Amino acid sequence: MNNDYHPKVNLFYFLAVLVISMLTRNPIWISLSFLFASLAVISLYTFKYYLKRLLVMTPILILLILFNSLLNSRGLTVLFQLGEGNPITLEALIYGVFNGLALISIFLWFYAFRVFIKSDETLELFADKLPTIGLMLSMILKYIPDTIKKANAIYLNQKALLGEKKLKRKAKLNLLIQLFSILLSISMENSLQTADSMLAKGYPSKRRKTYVKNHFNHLDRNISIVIVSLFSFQIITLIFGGSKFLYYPFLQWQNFEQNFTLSIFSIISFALILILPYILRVIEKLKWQKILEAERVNQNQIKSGLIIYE
Amino acid sequence: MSNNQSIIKIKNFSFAYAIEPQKTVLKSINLEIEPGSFNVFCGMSGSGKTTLLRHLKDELAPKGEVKGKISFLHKNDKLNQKPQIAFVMQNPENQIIMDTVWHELAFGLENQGLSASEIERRIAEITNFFGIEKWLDQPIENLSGGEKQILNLASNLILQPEVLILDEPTTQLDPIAKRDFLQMLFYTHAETGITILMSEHNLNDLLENTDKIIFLDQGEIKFQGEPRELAKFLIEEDFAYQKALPIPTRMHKFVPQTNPALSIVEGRKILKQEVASGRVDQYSKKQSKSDNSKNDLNPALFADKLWFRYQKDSELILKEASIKIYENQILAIVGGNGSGKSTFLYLLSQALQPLRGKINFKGKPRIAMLGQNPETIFSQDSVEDVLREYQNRFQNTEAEINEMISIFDLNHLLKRHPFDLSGGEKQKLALAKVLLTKPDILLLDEPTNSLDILNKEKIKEILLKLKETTTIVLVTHDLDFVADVADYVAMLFNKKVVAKATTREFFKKNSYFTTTTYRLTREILPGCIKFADLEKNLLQF
Repeated sequence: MNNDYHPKVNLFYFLAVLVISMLTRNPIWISLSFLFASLAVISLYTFKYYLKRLLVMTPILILLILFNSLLNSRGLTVLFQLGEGNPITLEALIYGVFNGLALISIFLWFYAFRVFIKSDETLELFADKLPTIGLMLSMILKYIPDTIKKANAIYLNQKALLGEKKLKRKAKLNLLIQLFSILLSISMENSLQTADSMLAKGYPSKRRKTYVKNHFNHLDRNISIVIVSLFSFQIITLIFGGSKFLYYPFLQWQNFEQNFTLSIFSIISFALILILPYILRVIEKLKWQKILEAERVNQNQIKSGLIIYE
Repeated sequence: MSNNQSIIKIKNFSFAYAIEPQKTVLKSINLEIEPGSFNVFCGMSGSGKTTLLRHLKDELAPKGEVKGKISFLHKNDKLNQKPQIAFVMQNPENQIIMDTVWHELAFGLENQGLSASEIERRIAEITNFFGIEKWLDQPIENLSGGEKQILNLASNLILQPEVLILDEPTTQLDPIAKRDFLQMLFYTHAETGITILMSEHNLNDLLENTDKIIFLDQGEIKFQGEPRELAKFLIEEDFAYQKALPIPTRMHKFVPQTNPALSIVEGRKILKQEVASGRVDQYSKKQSKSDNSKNDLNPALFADKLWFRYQKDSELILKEASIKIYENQILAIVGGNGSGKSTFLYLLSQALQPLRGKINFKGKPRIAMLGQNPETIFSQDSVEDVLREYQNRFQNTEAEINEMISIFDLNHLLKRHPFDLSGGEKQKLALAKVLLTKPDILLLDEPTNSLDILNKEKIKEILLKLKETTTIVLVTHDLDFVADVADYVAMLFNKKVVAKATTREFFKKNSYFTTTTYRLTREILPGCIKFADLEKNLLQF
């Protein structure tokens, strides 16, 4: 989605997409999810980043296909037989492919969502209902970069103290042990000061109320309603079997004819969820163009002397 | 004075820590603080400044035996309604609690249970007051040390306290960040009339804006009053602490008939008068040529066009930085924040490797470097064990270790945990440990940070003595210290060494980036770059 919206909206969207991608085995749903997950990762990072992620995950896909087709001999269409072993069937192969794709899309969605989870606003999701956890998370987020910086300083200072270019393996190990012991002492010492500072600012306090920076505005509400209703429709389809797809014994969309309308509408609704961020972006762009157009007319009128400012 | 009711009254207050009941840390303190005044508590480290200030804030009061009474002016005569007191501590990083600037600003207000709209209003107000709107969404790690301390000031003032206490808030800042912080503090005081109590051992940049200064020595108030009176007192009674006064003020010792100067401008006026009236001679230009005759200098190492960056795609920190360092000389490397001084030192120590370029050493010298934050090299549980860590490796005899202990005054601390020492003691312990590695080349990064004036003098003496056998390179912001110890000064700017000269030449060429003494005496008494020069001059008459 977008950082303009309340973190809850981002969370709703992510959960909706993720849950559907996990529950369904229908190749159309999986393909759609994969397609849009890829688009999301590419637009949030770079194409290069996307390819790299994909490259890392390809072995998983291949392994899944291999395992499934070698160990699973259900399915009617035999492609060939490996020696004395199980026959390799088309159905098992295709099942492996889509299972793998579903897994990869879930990973990709997580990568996409990571862009938002990094921002501290996501903390407010917890801060609202679980104030102590929200506070702890915030403190941890401050603590981590702090500690990395300190570990670096300790490593460099310890190495510099002895002024040697290359350390022997034993010395290196020693240095590492020392690093952790010093880091622990420093962290404990520092946390005492942090605790003092918290006391000085009136913590703990029974009156404490967590301040939430973002308000859930009407736009957030409307988008959430759209997401939730589309998502509910997906769940209904799932329950009534509108998207049920069987791989064995042969590829078959179960009861496709009976549930035809439900299935078609369900595909459309899933596609709508996926396209939603892009639709919102287009709407915003159109609004901008309208404003710019109005401004241009205004400027032209000033130039041609129709409007005179004094 | 008397028609103004004191906001804080301390009467016959004495204190001893629970762990050391026989040692009174504060001895019958009597003190009154006027509302809206700016009060500075000064004294050597260990004089009881922090202990006294902490007693004013219930949540931070140390545990132990208390005698006497601290009373506060009750707001609107409501009984037991203490004034709101905010407390800013020394370390800029550790007192920050949350992960982002706005989160940190909100923390104290959240504890008061204020509504979201009230919190928003207060954050808006304080960020506007300090002009820090740009930081609001930043994670804390993106701020520099000085900026962090300003944030700490803001996150305390946002609670709208009536009294603001600051415990050595600038000790861990470099001079420029210190100046910025103090300016912000003076501005706050002038604009809001808040009562301020601040402890500090280095009195530079402070005196002009201080209403009352309280001098503590070994737990006793030896003086309280106006800054000029303090200067007179310290100089007349000849306290060693007079060296903590700003250089223009220290001049009072030699021109006692005038009012002590608090700033360079005042100091220059006094000097001009003295020279015009013929009481002070123009400094004889016969400077001892012993300063640095380049002929008998042997290079100890030559760093040839060093390039460096921390990560593959990150910005270059150094680009073609070259320097020649001579044996048995002290070289000071100076430069602004982030000019790569520390990195340069790490390269010389070989803890980091240059991207390009080479460091050529004469022979195979032992190099040792002491980086910033001395506790990073304390991995043992007692001071003694810290010193003995490399005893076998460098074949330290008992005599050598004992010598270090006595040089650095560590005898009474041997059994203590190194993390329990004060900032100055940690620095001395670290230095002792480094010296025990018997280096031929000693590299020091900000060795005078968090040292009080006596310890600084001590380190100065030690370095000057050490120079006879060791090549020393130090990186520092403290130009007056550089003038006192260094033979050469090199300036890093724009990723390389842009100037290198003997200390005297270097500071005489500069008008702004130079020592306080030189700025004070320029044109009036040519040739003075350190206080000792001025001293000689003033003693002549």
